[in-house]
Amino acid sequence: MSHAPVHRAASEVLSPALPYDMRPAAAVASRNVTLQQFVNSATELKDHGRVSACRAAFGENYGAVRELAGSIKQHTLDHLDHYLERYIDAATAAGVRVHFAADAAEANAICVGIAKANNCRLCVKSKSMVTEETRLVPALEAIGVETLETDLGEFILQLDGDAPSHIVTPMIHKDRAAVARAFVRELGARYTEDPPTLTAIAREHMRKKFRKADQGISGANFLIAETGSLVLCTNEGNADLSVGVPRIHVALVGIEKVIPRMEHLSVFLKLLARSATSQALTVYTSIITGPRKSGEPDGPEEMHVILLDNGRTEILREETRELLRCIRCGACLNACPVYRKVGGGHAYGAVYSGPIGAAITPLLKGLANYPDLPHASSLCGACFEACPVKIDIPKQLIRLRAAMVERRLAGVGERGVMRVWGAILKRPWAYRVAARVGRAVQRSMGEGIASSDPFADRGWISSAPGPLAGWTDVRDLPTPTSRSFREWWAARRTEDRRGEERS
Amino acid sequence: MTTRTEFLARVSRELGRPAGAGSVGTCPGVDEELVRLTGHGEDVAKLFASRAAAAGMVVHRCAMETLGRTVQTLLGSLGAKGVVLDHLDAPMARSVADAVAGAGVRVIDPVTAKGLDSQFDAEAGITGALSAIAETGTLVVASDKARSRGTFMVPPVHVAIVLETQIIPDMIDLWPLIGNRPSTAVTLISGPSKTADIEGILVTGVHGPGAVHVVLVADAGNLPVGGRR
Repeated sequence: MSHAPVHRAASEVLSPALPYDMRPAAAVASRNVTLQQFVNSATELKDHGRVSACRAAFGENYGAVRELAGSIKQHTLDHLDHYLERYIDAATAAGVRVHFAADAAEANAICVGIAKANNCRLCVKSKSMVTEETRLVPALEAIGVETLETDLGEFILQLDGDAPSHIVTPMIHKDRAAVARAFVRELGARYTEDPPTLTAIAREHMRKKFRKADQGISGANFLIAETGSLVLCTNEGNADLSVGVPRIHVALVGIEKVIPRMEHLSVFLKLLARSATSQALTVYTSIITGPRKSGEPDGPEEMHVILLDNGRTEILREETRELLRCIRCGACLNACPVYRKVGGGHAYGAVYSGPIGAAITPLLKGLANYPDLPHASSLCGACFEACPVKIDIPKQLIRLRAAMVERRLAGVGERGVMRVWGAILKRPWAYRVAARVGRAVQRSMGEGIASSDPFADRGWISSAPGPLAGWTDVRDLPTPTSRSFREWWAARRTEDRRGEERS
Repeated sequence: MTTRTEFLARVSRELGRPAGAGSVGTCPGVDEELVRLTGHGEDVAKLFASRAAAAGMVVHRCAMETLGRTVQTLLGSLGAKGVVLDHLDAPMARSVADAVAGAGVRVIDPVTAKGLDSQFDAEAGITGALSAIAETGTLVVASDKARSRGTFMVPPVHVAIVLETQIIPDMIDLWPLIGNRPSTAVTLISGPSKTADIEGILVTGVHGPGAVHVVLVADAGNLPVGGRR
């Protein structure tokens, strides 16, 4: 299998030229049978796992627990200025140096500044979507700091010059042979496709780096306002080594990660791992409150937290605020038929993919830059159903579609068709005429119609003209029947009346 | 450079609140009816042992009198030559120290070792626990002046000594033990280090320990619940 749906450099996959046209990548991926099988089986397995894990744990309360989690996050966002103030004060009191980054460039500049001031040469990094968003790794490498992704999946992608395609399991699009080839080429390893052996090779390589690294970088799953703590969840333990072993720990965190009190973790931790990977808890959940205190034997000497805005305050507006509740579990990706069909995250052309990505990317990067994303959904509602903090993603996508029309971003053709359609729907006589004409035209193109046989009254169109070919390219379009429902109903009522008159 | 004031003013502005608005109303609390999954009535030691095993940890149950022998046998079976030994609570410290000496292994004291480098060459790390959660079979370890952040993370095998009286039913019961001034690092451990990044196939021991042994001690004397010392 090829290592990406469309051959593009890693940087282009997540930060493509704008405006981004999703269709070429989606078209290639939807024809790649192997990729389809991979993404289908991985996401379906996780989606079913989530449902059974959450039902087993919460039973009938599953919906109510999601409601509670959503309401805690919503309350925090409604008063985000207050909770950020509290977090900053508490973290500072615990010895953390808190920095403020309005955008990606400022966040990277702060991180680069810390690395320079401390003469850092080697940096170990734990998985973080925010650092993908700011493109931190290239910024550090540009000043000569070797920066190693330590999450196994991210490590392999970095080695192979590839980009993550899922926010929880980044390597969902790649198979073991691709890993084996990358290890032979980049690490000089013996060729093996055995996952435990491949993992052991990666472990040995990275342990040497952990031992020597002078800076560790992480994101955060949660920030706790009351205590100034930072919470990291991993299964591999790479975050604990990344932030515990080197002399300096830098965390890059979006402002939406704050929650009021430590006890609220009970709600979020119980939902997060079950929603993401159907585990009760991630193997490691670390609550870190500041750097090493005086007299402690180890841990970093300095801890920095860079709070990042980068467009989040735009989303903070009332009508879109709920999108910031997201705890990045990836459940909506696993549940989404469109995410599966387009072969995973790469087709979205952005760091955040799937339903949540389709909703937040246009807000973070501009609706005009991502005109396809609000439409990359069938509005089936599976994402809303899966979301542990009850974000109404379909509603947000519809809002974006409406915004496209308001801002005249929708195509001229689409707007014209919709205007005509609207005019017809407002006038019953026009609807009757249009329906009759439409039926006649479609039946004239149909095959296999035998009007004399009531069971073969409708046929199919196997190739339609113009934009309708989008439908008939991949499946037949059934023709309408010879009589419309209205005609059938009128005829039936006439018969009934006659029957009544007779009796 | 963006200052704290500018940064927060932007947040307030988009919220439509005056900068520095203090009023926050009431945040929803943790509704125990919904969130608590394990109650106080259950046999928490039994539940913890079964859930920890299900999470991939190896549980060895023993009494306080047989703790030393259990640890010595375990270290023997691991073939460990060097172990990192955290400072343990009084009733356990002596028997574990004797067991380690009896097994003839080199001991690294993380407090005097200053830094984690020497831990990379050890075969096992021995810790106590702040607490253990029955519901998920989770160990809770805290790192502070006497306890390293590396012992349970850096060596390839983690041995945790847990008293049955330290087990709490549910995560909800953990936060009062941690309080408002948490240790520098509190880590919840639910199994050996795991990954399924390559084709979804589960592999253990990718970064952290590939094996976690829990020595669960039945007779705990008069130690208070949650006491680690």
